[in-house]
Amino acid sequence: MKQTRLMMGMPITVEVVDASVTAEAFDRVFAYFGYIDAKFSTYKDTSEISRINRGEITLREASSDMQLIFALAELTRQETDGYFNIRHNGSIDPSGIVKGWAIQNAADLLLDLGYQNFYVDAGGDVQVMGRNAQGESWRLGIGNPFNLQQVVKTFGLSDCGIATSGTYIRGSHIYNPLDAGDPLDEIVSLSVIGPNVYEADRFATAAFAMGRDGIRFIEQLDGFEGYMIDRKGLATLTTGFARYVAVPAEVR
Amino acid sequence: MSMEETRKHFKFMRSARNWGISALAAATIGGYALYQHSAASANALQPIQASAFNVLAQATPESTPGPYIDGDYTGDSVQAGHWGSMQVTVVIENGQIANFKINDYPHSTSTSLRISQIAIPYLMQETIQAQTASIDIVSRATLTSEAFTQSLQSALDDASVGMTATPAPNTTGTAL
Repeated sequence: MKQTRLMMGMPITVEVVDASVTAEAFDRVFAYFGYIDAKFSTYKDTSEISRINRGEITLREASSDMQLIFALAELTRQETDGYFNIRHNGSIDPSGIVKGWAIQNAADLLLDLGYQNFYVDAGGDVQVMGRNAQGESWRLGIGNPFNLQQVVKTFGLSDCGIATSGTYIRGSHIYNPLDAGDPLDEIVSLSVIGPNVYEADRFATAAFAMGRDGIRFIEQLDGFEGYMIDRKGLATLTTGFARYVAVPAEVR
Repeated sequence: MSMEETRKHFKFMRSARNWGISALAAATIGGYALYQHSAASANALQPIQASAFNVLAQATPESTPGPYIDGDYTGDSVQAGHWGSMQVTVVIENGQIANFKINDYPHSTSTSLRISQIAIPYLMQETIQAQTASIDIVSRATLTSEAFTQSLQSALDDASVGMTATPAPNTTGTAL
């Protein structure tokens, strides 16, 4: 069973292939994303993050989820030497860490319900668990940043997360916190595979802000692989990435 | 690294987080204080504001079966900044959004691309190539540009009232 809904300004797709899956499971997952949107959306005046940004409440007065997100964002800022930062131009936008975290929690929710073979995809960042409907690894493709109708790399994945950061559709939604004027136009797409989508997403965001050095950051990160595409259409792979693509996905 | 090692690593990462340890940073980040500034190019990508956020949120189906009438609906072709136009087809099944297809998207021309002088030693490089293998999922940067959301919204407006569905162009090799 597979469902897509438009939430948080992006398509969120959930597919569960376990025979026991119910429609209620999907409702619970999408309800969770609704809760995340209501709390963390900087586009909503009523959200808790908007209230914090307006100075109506302090972090100390905020919910435990909000405090956790701030703590995770600060940890990520330290781990990435400042390239990840939710503070920008005097306001706070935690979406760079909330998204991966929320996908991860949604996947954990499905695990808690007893499902083993599924994926949760929010706007192109994905947690994949178990096998697809054919009993194989989930077949992933990296979107071509120059042509939305194409994928440029395909491989099988299971029990891990993949996230892609880029400038190509959304515009420069990622900036370099250490140099706000940096156009970051050298690299158009950076995909990161990690132990889960939370880890993959936060490091993809930070590494993208590093420009061309981002792929070397991923290379040095234990347990992560990356695929970076520059403006010329030239891709740079981490050394371990090849093992994901050595065998064509269709014969796995 | 094997999947088992990956899992062990994740356990480490989790415990490191729980204990507030930044060991990972110390082990892996050294040397990244230096940042390579890219010169602003005349062809720098223009940011596209994602201001249609709330419009889409309102369009979200809240219950099953969904509010839409089955069929394929193609939205307006919407100008997407300097990139050209974007047009989205939405597929409605059982009253719900089953899939999206991007019908029209500008291609970047190679002549507009700046040649990089920065080499990355050691890591393998390749020219990207379109793949034909069937896939379950696409990972890409989030599609939340104003053009995307506008085209999608107009397709959903048609789906709400059951306007004549438009046949979607063949988009083999991609899924969203």
